[in-house]
Amino acid sequence: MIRFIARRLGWSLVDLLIVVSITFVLTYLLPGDPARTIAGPHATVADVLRIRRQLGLDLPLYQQYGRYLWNLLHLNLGTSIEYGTPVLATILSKFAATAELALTGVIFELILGLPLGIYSAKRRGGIVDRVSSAASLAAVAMPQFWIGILLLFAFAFKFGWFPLGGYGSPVVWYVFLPGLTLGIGGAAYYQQLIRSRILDVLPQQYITTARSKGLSEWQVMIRHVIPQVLTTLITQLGMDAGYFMAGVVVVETVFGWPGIGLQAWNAIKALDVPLIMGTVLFGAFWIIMANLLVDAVYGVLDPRIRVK
Amino acid sequence: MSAQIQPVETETDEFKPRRRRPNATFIVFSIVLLTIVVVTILAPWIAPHNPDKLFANGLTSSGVPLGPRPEFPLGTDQFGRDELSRLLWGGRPALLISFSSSILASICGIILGTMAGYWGGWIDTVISRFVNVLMSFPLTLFAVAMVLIVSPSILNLIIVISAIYWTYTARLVRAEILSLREQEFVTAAIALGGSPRRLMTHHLMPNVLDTVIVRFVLTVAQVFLLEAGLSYLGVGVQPPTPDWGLMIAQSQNYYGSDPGLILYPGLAIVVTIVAVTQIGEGYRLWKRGIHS
Repeated sequence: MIRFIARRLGWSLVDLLIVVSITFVLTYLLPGDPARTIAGPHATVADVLRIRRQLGLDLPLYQQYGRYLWNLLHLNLGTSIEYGTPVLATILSKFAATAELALTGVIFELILGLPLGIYSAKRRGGIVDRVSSAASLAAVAMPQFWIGILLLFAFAFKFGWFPLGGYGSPVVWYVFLPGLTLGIGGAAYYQQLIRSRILDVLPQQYITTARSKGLSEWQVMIRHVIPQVLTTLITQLGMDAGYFMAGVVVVETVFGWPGIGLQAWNAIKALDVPLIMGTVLFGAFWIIMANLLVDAVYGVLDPRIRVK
Repeated sequence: MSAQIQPVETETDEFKPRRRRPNATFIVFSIVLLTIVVVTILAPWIAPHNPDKLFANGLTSSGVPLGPRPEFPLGTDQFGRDELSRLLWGGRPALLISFSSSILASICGIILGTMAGYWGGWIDTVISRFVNVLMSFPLTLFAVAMVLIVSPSILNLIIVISAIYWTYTARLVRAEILSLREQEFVTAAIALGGSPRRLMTHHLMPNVLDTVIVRFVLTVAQVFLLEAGLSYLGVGVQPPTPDWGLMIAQSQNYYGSDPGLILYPGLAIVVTIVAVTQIGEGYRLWKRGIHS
C-alpha cells in the first residue's frame, strides 16, 4: 500500500514538473512586456531596460527557467503586475471565498443528485425517473453562465429572495445561487451516474441472495448496492472538488463572487500575466492533488488497483 | 463547465432484442440536429434582416429593446438589431468550432492513443503523461490563457480547443487498444506478417472506431459549452459576430426589460446540445444492439 502511494506520489511530482514547464512556456509566449507594464507609459528606454534586468528578463531562456523553478520551490510565483503583491498571497487572499463556493457546489450536487439517482433506479420507468432523467439531460446541456443568469433573473430579480450577486453576510444567503448554479450541472451528472451504476448492480446474483435472505428492499439498497456505487461516487466527488477549487471562472464572474476565478478574469482583462499563470498553476496543483487523493482512496477501497 | 458532460454507461440488458436498424432516439435527434445545421447554413437566405444592422427604429424612444412585432418577429436586442436574424446566424461560429475541433481532436486522439496502446514502453509513458498533465489544467482558464497568446480568431479557437480535447479520445483509445492487442485476431495478423503500421490501421483502429464516434459526439457537446463560456468571458468569438453564447453575455444586463434576449439563444444552445448527446446515446445503443 505504501509503495503504491509512493509510486503514485512520484508520478504526481513528475506531472507537476511538466505542468510548471508548460506554464513557463506560456508565460514566455503571452503578450505584454512585464517590464514595460511595470515601468508605466512615461518611462524612458533606460528605465525599461533596468527593470527588465531586475526581473531577469535579459537572461538566456534556460537561466530564466532555472530561476522560475527555483522561485517556485520557495513558493514564489512572482509579483502581480496589477496589484504589486506576491501572486501566491494574492491568490490565497481570495481562496476562502472560492472554497466556500466549491463546498456549496459539492453539497448541492449531492443533495440533488444522489437521492434522485437512487430513487430513479429504484423505481425505474416511474414518474420520478422519467422527469429527473429528462431534467438531467437538459441540465447538462446548459451553459453554466446561462443557468446562473436565469437563477439571478428568477430568484434575485423577480422574487428578490436572494441578492443580485456579490459577497456579504450572512454568507449562506449570498452563496446560495452561485452554489446552486455550480451544483445543478453536477447533480444532473450524478443522477445519471448513480442511476446507471445501481441498475448495473441490481440484476446481480448476490442481490437476489440478499433478497431471499429476507432483507427489505431498502436494507438491500443500503447494505449491498450503495457500497458498490461508493467508489464511483468518491472518484467523481474528488475530481469535482479539485475542479471547483481550481476556481470556477465563469460562475464567479456571473455572480461577482470574489474568489480566485473572478480575480483571474480581472487579471485576464488587465493582461496581468503572472497572476493568470499563477492561478492556472494553483488550479493544476489542486487537480493533481485531488487525483492523487482519489487514487489513494481507491487503492484502500479496492486492493486490485494496487497490484496493477 | 463542460467537464460535466461525460459518458455514463447505462444499464446493460442481457436480453435486448437484436436491432439492426437505428433506433428512434438516433433518428429523431439526427433530424433535429440536421434541421438546426441546415437552418444555420441557410441563415443568409432565410434571415429577415442583416444580423448586424442597427435599426434606427429598433429601439423605443427611451432606448429599450422592442418586443415582437411583424417587422421584428422576436423583437430587437439592446442595440436595435433584429433578434430573429441574429438567432438564425448565431449557431454558425459554435457549430463550426465544435465540429471542426472535435474532428481534429478525434484524429489526433486516435493516432496518439493507438500508438501509446500498441507500442507501450517509453512512447506510452510520454503520451500518457502528457494526457494526464493536460487534463490537470483548470480547463476554462487554461483555454483562456492559450487563446490570449494566439488572439481569439475562429481558426485559433479551433486549434486551441482541439489541443486540449484530444486527450479524452486518446485515453479511451489507448485503453481499448491495450485489451484488443491481447486478442487472437491480432496475433493472427502478426503471424501473417502484418507490419505494425498495417496492424494499427487495418486491424486495431477500425475496432476502436465506435468508441471514438461516441466520444466525438460528447466532445462536440463539451466544446459547444466551452465555446459559449469563452464567448461569455470575452475571449471567444468577438462582437459584433452573432453567436449564441455571446448574445447571452451581451444581453445579460437587459434581462429585466427583455428576458427573451437571454432565453432564446440559451434555448438554442440547449436544444442543439441535447440533440448532439442523444444522437451519441442512440448510436451507442444501436451499435450494441448489433454487436451483442
